[in-house]
Amino acid sequence: MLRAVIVAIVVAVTVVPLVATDSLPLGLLAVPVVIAVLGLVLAWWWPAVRYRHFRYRMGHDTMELEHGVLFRTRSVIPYFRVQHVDTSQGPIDRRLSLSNLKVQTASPATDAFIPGLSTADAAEIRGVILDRAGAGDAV
Amino acid sequence: MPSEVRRLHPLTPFFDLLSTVRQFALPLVLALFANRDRGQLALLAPTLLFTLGGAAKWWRFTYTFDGARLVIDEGVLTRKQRIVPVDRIQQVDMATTLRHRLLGVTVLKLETAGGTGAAEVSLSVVSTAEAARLRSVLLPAGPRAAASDPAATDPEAPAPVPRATTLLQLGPGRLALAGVTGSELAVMFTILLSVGQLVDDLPESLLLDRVEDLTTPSDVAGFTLAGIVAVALWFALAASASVLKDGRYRLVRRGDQLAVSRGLLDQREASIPLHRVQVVRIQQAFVRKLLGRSSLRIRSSAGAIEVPLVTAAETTELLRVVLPRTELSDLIPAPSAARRRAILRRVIPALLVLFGSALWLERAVPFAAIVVALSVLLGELAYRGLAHGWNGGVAVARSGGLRREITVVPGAKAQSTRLRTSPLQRRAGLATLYVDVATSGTSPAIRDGDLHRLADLQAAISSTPAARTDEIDVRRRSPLVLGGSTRAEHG
Repeated sequence: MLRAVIVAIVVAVTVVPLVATDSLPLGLLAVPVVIAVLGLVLAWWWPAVRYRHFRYRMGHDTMELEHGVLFRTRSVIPYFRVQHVDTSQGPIDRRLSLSNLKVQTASPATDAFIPGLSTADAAEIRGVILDRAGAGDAV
Repeated sequence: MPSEVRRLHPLTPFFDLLSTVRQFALPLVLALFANRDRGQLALLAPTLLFTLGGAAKWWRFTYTFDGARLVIDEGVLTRKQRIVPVDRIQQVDMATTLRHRLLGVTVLKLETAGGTGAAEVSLSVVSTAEAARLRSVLLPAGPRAAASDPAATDPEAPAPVPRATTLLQLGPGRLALAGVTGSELAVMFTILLSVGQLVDDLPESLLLDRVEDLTTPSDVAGFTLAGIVAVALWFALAASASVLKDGRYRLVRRGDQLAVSRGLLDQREASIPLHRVQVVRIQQAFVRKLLGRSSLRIRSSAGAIEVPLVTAAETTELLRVVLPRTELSDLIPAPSAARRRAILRRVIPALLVLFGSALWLERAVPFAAIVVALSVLLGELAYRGLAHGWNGGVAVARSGGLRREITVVPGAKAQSTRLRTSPLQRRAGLATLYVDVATSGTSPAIRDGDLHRLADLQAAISSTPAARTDEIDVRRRSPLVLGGSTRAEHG
């Protein structure tokens, strides 16, 4: 939504002076308004759609994630490949006691990001991953 | 035995000065011209400063190796210490330019890998003998004696090197062929661009006279001859560029090491341990495919070895050495639903371009039939190129029509996998499977395969026992020590 508002402001700043000086038709004023309205609608509706399509599972040997609405991705990460587990919190996350969890392997392309966990859940999941990541050493 | 503290070659300050002069060549020349009388004197002070600074830098740069860790101390004002456990070293390269060769020195570069990036340690310059000794102790081709073993030999003595087996040697003829069928052809555009820029700067009168001389051929034969000469020159340049870059190409195996040396003027040597190979990409550009030739790129986490031009038999032989269980035949073709996607992906953009240009050019419309037919043909070729395989724990992905690419990934090196579907793929029951390995760049991918088959393959790759063994082998190496704190890094 923030991006939509920024785009709307940029377009408005460009269009309004041109319309005021009669360089562009009045109708173009509708453009930034439409962008802002669309942005608001999407901000209200889209997150719920994305939430419905986000799942994760802590299996016995691997963690699995499924996410994406149009382009859907199913990631599988064996625990023994985990290098680090990072948690992060923005200012709004802190207010709502939420955390984001990111798992890193030796591949920069590994896609393992779980947003919007409760802080307690994030800590528990991190503990489980790190325990199981270290368990494979004994062979 | 205490390990000896060593310094770089005494000529190091001289080479540092040379590279500084090269960087500042233009301002230096301008300064000289601006102050003809005092110019030389004016340059004396900075030159002295650089030389003294270079000498101090050389004195402060020391390295030692105790059998397990390479410790580098450097810095004049700000002191730095870098500790590289020998098991972290992925690749050892030697880069020798002509001036290095004349003075019997070389630059030794070590590539390490950890986390999401690669770190490089550069020893510039050392004598060629010292570089060879360092390479043999840092990346020995045979089994390494345990650092804590009291019966271990002197850690600084070169490890006994197993006999090298030559896997491939490329002569000038083959390199020239590689040049005229590969990316060296693009070198002509670089030259044309430079010439163009130079021509822009010349006075107009000078140019017009010359151009008139050159463009007086008044008949078709003259222009045709000029065209033929131009193309011949272009090919000759591309061939020469390839020979210069890869001349005396030799790929050898020394125990667990794969090593390559190449270059006529600037010689480069690189080696990677075979057990660190992450992925092999085999590429066949259209002309090379017609000639039954390919090029290979063997990637480890920290670098790659390029093989410019090989036959099919040589490819099979190299794969047998690098990734023994690879099976390039008996690949599973893509489902027929992928054909429609391959064709539409080419026809639609072509139609859009045609439509756009038809708004300006009426003549574009008759070409529509030809363009669509060509797009359909290219789409069909691309579809036929799609295939994949999973044999003996090695995944093979093939794609491309005119320009074919085969990617070989051992399941043991997969860090994670991603099964991705777009809305159109889901409708057609297709998916793309990415196998993420510890290299930068795009992950190897099996594109537009059957969704259920790829889902099963994803499960198989994720549960490969060899992957667990590979990770344990990596973790048993000593942790990377950074300024007192430790963290385990992947190699």
